[in-house]
Amino acid sequence: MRSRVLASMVWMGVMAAGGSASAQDRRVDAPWRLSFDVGARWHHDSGLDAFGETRSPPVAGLSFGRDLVGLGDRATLAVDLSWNAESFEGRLRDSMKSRLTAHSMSAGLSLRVRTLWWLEPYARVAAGALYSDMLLTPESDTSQGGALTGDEWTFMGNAGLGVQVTTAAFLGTLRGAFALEGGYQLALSQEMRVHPQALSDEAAQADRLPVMDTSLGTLSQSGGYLRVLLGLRF
Amino acid sequence: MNVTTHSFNRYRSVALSLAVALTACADRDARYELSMRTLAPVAAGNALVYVQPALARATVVDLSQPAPAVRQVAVGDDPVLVQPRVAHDEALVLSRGQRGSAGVAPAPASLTAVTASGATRRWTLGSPFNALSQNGDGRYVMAYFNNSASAGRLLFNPNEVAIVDLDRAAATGNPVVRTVRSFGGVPNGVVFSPTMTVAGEPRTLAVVLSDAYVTLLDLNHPERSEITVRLTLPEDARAIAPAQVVFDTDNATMYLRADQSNDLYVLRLLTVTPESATANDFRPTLNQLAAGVRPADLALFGGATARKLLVVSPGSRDARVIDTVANTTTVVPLDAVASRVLLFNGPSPRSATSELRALLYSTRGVASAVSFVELTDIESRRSQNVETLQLGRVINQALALPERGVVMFGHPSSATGSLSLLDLGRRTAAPIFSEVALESARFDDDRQALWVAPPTGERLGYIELTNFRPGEIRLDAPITDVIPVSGGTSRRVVALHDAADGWITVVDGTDVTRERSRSLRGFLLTALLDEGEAQ
Repeated sequence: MRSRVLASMVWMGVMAAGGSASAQDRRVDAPWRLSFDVGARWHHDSGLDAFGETRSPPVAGLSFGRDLVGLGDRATLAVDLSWNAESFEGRLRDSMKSRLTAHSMSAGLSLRVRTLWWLEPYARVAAGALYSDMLLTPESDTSQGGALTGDEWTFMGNAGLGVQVTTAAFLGTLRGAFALEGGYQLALSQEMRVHPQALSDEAAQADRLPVMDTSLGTLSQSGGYLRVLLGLRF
Repeated sequence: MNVTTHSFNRYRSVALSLAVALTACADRDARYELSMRTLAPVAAGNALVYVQPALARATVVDLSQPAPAVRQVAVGDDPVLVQPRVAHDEALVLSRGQRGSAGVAPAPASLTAVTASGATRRWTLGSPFNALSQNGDGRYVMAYFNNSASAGRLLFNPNEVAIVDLDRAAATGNPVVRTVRSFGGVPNGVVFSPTMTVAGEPRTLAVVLSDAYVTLLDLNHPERSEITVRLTLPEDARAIAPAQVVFDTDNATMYLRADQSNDLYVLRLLTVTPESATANDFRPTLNQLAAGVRPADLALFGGATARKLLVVSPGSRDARVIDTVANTTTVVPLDAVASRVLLFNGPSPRSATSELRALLYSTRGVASAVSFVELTDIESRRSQNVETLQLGRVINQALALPERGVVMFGHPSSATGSLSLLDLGRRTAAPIFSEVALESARFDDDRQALWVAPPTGERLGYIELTNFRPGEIRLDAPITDVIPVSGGTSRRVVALHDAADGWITVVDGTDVTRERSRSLRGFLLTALLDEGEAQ
């Protein structure tokens, strides 16, 4: 289904590209964009190996943007808000199940340059926060400890280059948007600390002895990324 | 056409390279796939030391501060044994090294001393030993091959030993690696003498026990050859199994008891003139003393010029007093069979004077009575100096606290309690109800309290040894072991819980309450995320 939508969008773009020269210069009047994105990040911190076989799991997210202002005839400055998440999951030393989920929330600024009315290469920078949440669950039946959990916030930013393809209008003012973007995400290191997961029984939890946190060390989630955005402009 | 083809190939190459670059990912760091299993932890002063064999690493949990500090230190490859260093705040980790395989370089066996602060010292041993024995003040340690274990090598010499002087850094001559002379046997154990004067010089001897002979090594002169003493005739194939050595430090003499012999073996170390630089300046002479049937324990008493041995022989249901100077033996019949001797200084119900007395008892589950022996004039008064005290239940365990004037006995579970507290001065026994066996009990370092924990229970029990008041505290999980730690003015007890990532509860030994107790979880995962970078 997804491939059919993609094919139709590309087809519409190509058809539109066959129009007149004046049509090629026309600015698309669809300032808003809502998109779903998928992709991957290639992390280089080997500490992430504690959470599974791969350091580049799939990333999925949403973004919402608006064109701010036109700069000259061909350039457009836009802002966006993005959220995406990736999850690492695996076994740690044959004793524990390990899971790390990282959420990135950022505000971005992009500059698109229209080469054809439907084709816009762009550069984008963004900054925001990265939230990491980990869970370590003992696999042994004899273990009495329950799971260990911990979470941490840090700052992140990224910069990338991409190209956006916009389709002809359909259903009134709606247009399809497809973008491919690659770049690098820089995130400040996080010191990950864990503590036992709280019991569901509040009374039992309140009765527990105080437990001191343990630092598992620092984690850097910087790395190159590639993402594909599929969405609508309107 | 050629240009077009060339361009197409170039773009295809670029595209393929990009695809490979994007999809490629580094192999997972192998350290995250290694086992988390640990050796049983030990105390090193006010710290707890866990050793993780697969990681060749010790995790030191320093409990000297309210917030424990966790440090990780490297130890030798393939650690197999960790034990506290006697009389020092250190742990000793024996590692067998690495045989080497494709891509892995061989590494020699080693001994690592780990302090409470995480500092380490290491000595290379060479051979993959699997047993350690320390002398009384913790200065010397001998590494050897335990007879029951495989060496895990194509060839190994089970009579090889390595002696390490822990007060000296690794250097030529430390450790001293030797092969002890063998009459077909292998070492079964090692006993160290206290400092004793031999040939006019204070020194420490290591006594290697084999099936039918013992080997003496002079630790003060490791360059000198060892002395092997056969305890049986050459044609006698019996394995008499030497099991106990008592040293008379004033008279350069040692007394050996063997599990499969009715005799005691007396080795007097006589001064001789050494024939060469590697020859010894003493020579042992062997004498045998009859000691009843299957002697089970012995103790020395009396002054240096009137040294006597008290021996209990359960096979003949008697005790024997052997005058080592006059070479005479006095047999003292007992009403209750005994296999252990405890000498203590204290009063008796008939005399407030504190003097040396003996308690004779058996922990073999056959005797329900104990014998008090007045050692003064024992040879003339014999059984008149023996008082038997009935406990009403057989004894299978004992914990002696002579400095507090008590012995705690364990009994098979019964309605009248499974422990007895024997007052050595009053000669009375009080029952204490207990759900746990004495074998899991642990003393504080300063023996202020005795701590017990049932293997599957969440409660930690204790008896204050100053007033014998029992108490208990409920923790959050079943307790697998209890380790008292000490250091400075603090007195803490650590309860271990079952968790692969490490879980302990630290209890204040001076204020045993939940309010003063803290847990620490996950400390075996400390710096987990930094491990890959360290490679």
